Amino acid sequence: MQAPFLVPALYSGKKGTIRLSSGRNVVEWIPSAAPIDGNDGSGPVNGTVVVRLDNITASTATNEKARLRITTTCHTQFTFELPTRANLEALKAALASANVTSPSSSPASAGLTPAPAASKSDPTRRLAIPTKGLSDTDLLADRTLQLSFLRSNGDLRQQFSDAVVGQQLPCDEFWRTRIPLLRMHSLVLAQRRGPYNVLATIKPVSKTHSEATGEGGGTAQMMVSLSPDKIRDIFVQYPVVRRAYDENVPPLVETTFWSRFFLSKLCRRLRGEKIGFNDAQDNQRELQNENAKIMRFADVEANEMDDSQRAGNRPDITMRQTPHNDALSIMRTMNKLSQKIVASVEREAQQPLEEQEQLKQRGLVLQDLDPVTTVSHIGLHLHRSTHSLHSATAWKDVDAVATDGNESGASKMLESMIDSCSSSSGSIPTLLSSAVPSSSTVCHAQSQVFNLIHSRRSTESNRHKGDDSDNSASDAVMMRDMKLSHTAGIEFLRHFWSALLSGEPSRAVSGLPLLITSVEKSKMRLETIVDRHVTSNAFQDPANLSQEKKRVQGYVQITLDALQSAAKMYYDLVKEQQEAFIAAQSENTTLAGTLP
Amino acid sequence: MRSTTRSNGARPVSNLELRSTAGGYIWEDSIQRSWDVVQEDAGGSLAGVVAELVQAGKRKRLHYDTTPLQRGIIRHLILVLDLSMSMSEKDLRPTRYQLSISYAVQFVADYFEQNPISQLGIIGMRDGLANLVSQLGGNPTEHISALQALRKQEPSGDPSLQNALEMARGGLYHVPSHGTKEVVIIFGSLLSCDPGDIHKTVGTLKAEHVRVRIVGLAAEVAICKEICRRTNEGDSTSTYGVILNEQHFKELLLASCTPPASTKQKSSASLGSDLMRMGFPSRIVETSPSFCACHSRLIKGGYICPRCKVKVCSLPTECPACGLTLILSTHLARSYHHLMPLRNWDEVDWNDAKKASSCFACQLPFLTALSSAPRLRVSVSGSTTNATAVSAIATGGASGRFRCPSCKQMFCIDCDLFAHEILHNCPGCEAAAGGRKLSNGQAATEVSTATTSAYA
Repeated sequence: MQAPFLVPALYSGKKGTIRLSSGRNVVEWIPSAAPIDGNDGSGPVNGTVVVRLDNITASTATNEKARLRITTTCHTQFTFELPTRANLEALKAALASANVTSPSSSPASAGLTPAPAASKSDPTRRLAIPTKGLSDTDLLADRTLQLSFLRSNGDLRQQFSDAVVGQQLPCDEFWRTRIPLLRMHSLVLAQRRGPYNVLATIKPVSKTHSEATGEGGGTAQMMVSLSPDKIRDIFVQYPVVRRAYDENVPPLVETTFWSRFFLSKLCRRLRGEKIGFNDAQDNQRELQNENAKIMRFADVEANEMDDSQRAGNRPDITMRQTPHNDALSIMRTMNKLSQKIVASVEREAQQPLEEQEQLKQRGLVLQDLDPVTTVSHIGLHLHRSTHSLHSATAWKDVDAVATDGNESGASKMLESMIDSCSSSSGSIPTLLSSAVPSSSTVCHAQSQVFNLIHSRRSTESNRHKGDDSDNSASDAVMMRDMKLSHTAGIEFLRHFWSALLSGEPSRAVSGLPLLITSVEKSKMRLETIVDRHVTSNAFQDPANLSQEKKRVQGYVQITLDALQSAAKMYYDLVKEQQEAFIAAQSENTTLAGTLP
Repeated sequence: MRSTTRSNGARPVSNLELRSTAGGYIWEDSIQRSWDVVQEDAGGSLAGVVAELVQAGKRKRLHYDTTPLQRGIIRHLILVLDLSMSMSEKDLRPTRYQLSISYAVQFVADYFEQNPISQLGIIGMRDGLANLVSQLGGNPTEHISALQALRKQEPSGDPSLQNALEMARGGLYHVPSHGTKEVVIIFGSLLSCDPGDIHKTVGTLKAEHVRVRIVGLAAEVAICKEICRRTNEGDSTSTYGVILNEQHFKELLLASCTPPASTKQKSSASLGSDLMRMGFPSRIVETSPSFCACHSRLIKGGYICPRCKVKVCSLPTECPACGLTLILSTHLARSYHHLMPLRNWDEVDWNDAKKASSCFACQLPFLTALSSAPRLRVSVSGSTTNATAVSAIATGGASGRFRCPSCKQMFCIDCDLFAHEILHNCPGCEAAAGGRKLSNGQAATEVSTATTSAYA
């Protein structure tokens, strides 16, 4: 192996060394604080590793400073400043010989680990949507996914630190009840964007000069906002722009380049817009044609087509006699672009050839006139049971009651009411007193109704307001503790029930004793909070000690009951199992006794 | 090649299908414009005609298929919203974006109203990626507040059907076999910007029995049709629709509130039925508040889970401690009406109209033949071509009486609507067993007051 090539270089103002090991196709920059010798072979410490280089741009010879810009295939750029121009030339030559710059060097570098600089670039550029990693076991095993989910969700982090860090709930138990959430998160992380028409998404916003500077009566200005992602996508989609950028940017400032680009004819053409006579001519040379132009007289195909005798419809998509140049160029640009986009997707999809052919065939078939497919559904045959509820005998009973007792009474009452109403003196209170048997029952009914309304109203207002806010400071502390313990208690109950109902004996045997102690501890913790609150407030007002205790205990009584019932259920089950076990054993021994 | 496929695929269209009502071919007919149908009456007023049209509109909503079919009533549905640039179009007022969010809110409310034991999740498509708006869950208020939060954002970028479908698939991954897996997409764009091969995604969706319905806002898109066709066993006509106007948009979207009928192919794959545990919790009334298990908030009253005894604040829900589905029996009953739909009521013509003078349910008097005569004359006074359309409306609402085919009672149009859309029971059938008619006057008036409040 060759000795590594070392050049001192500044990177973002820090001193360091560029190291190029030609055998490994790796460029490293090591800050000078790190010992270079001790680092050999053990990988870079604090350095930047670039796996695949896409482009290298050096500052021009007339420029005072010797700068080197390295662009990786992920379009992250690193600009290094070298002490002398000689160093720069040497490094350029070394890079060229090391063959890291060649665009076709992908197989050579395929085996290398991606650089930290590249991996942090963005999540949307991942390679594929995972289709296998969605099963429960995969998700439970993926700790990095769980970590990133915790980072993104504050509430969950709190719960995690309470239950898992604070009270030793097994990590898998915690995630087992949240698998759907994890699955969604993994999908959110794994998805990526498809190729799209970048230039169409960049829309210039017109802004008057006065808005920008704060002065009155300014001229209109076009503003274009470009994100690094967009720039990268433009470079990928239009290599011609990248070429222009690479060639022109060291003398030009980046913003000038982009402003000139968006005003250029090239940009209009790439967008597929009409180019009028008034549009400014690009003073840079034409960059549109990447392929070398064939001179007209040497172009056999063109000459064959250029036969005045054969002039029929034009051999292009318009198929018309007269040329429509501008429309045609737009169509061509758009077609070329969509072909490119589709090709980039297909290259990744990599279907087998016959499948592609099938797809193509399916696309060609006209289905508009196909017979409408009727889907067969499963009909239900309902028998309305008219005799059970509305049986004749049942109705007869009701009829009898109605005719015998109440109806006659009701009609009499009605008649009397109508009479008293028709006589003008009858007012409603007198009417009521005459109609209703006793006022005490009315009062009772009324108070009952009002009580119900009051309790209902307080429930509803409480529901909208949430927690009681008119608490004292000690109450607030107690409330916070209580809420946390309550949440933790419910969390443990959830795991307890899921383990109990899982139907997996291994999980129940290993997990349940641990969980039941946690459940009991949660119960104790809640009781301690209540007791502590009552004792701390006891000297203030000893008179209503029991009342206070009752009030505070009321907050969590249901939770305590639930915890208690879970524990009781567990111990009952254990007892049952033990008894069954003992019974089975004794049966065995009696069997053994009778056998010999 | 193409000619052979055409000859194979093309269905011979019978001449009868192409006949118009006038006798000629459809394309020979003159165009019927909606404003030609409307004719002024003698006094130059349109009020009568407008009333007829309103009646006809009401009737139209009622004509649905009432064959009882096996349906999956425990539904899991992912609503996918297009949040891309094309949604900023103003062809729907105020914008496609705002209107589809409004309708989505309404959809969520209606969905949970009609399917209380089902779950829903929402995904948005923006910038070529799928964003999770709300997780699969059974609480409508959470979804609605998530949708309201979307209102403040702006649509941007391109949509990606593949990313959205993949995410929806992930969201429905854990759904047990007794639940349905459905995706409803509101799609305003004409393109989908996908990172890979969408046909593969559709294949996996089909394999996992996920059904996709799409409401298109712009024009029919081939891939949308393909998705619907493949995931619904070849039936794309009832599952993929492109809207004509706002009203149609709403109809197409709210059609997804009805649970999908299970098909023979699917059920043969998963034979047999399984039982599902459900809890009917008891309600408690408390004088002092206590913590609920679902949100850890102090709340007065609630429901106690019958299995693990924790308190939840609202139903239907899944018990936060033991995972039992907690519902009220009324929720189950409300889900059941899709399985046993109320039969359509027949229109009564004038010959039979004399048998009842007032609506059986609300007791309001019916129109008599004399009072509605001028309206009839107005509607028939149109030209001969229009008369067919108008007279259809006229006969539909002519007597204003609708008869239940099983109990033979007559109802007015408002009670008809109320019974079919909200009550899902026939007041006549429920009351009429044993020939009793008298005692239902009281109950029926209560129904009618509910009608007015529901429409207010």
